[in-house]
Amino acid sequence: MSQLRTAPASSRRGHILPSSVSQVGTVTKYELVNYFRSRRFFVLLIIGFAISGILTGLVAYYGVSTFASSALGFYAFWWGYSITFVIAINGIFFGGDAISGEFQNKTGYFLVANPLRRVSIYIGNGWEPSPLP
Amino acid sequence: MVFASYAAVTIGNGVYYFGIGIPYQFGESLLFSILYLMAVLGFTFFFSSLFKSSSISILVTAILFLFAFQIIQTLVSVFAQIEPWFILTYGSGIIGNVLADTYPTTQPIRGAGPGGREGTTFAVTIPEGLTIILGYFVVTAILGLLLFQRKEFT
Repeated sequence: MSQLRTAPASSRRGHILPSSVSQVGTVTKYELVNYFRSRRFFVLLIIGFAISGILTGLVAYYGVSTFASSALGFYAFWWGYSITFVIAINGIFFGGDAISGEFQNKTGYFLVANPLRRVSIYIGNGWEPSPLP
Repeated sequence: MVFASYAAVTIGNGVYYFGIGIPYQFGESLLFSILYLMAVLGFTFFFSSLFKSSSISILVTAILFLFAFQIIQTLVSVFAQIEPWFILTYGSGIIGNVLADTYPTTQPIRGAGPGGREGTTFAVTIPEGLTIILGYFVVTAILGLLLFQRKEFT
């Protein structure tokens, strides 16, 4: 018993706490599952494809020379003007309730009761809408 | 995912019309877009940590990004003639500017007519834009984390 008291928490048999990186990975995994199941994800994906579809249709109908004479001009027309709007919409709708949702839906009660750092929850939520996963 | 699919459609169309030679400026723009996305997320996380209601945090960030920043940027640059270096959307100008044939610069302008008002059109440089974007990301992400750590689940 005295051995158990002096031993560091991480080495106690059956009580090994995952590292912060591992905690972030676990939170991210479940947030991603939640993200892919949400209706909002599909709505935003449809909006993204709708913007792309409209631009594709316009370029196909009027001809690419109407909009750009070079490859750089084409990317400037397509990407340069619209991407900040697409990013803002994604950031607002996915990031807007990432933390406040934990409070509003009371899901945070189940998260913070676990031996998890709040930093891990915060970063784990942050990966969710990023383009990296 | 939405961002990646939008980039894929852009590249697909570019390759279809202009061949496989994608300009390196598009790669730079893509990189700046990812940094801008991180800054937007840091900013939205800050407001998300600030409010307990999802609707309010989404509404506040939507109003700020879609209207307020643009209006402030226009008022400050056109009427006050001050470079709006403190606005995130001004820093995001590098995403589009880098795709221009010649990178735009800050230039003095003169209004039309004999009594035309003189002014300046501001164009953000790449180092300035990166500083604004990264500054917003670091400051707002840290502030949001501090708020989240101090907040009680009551």
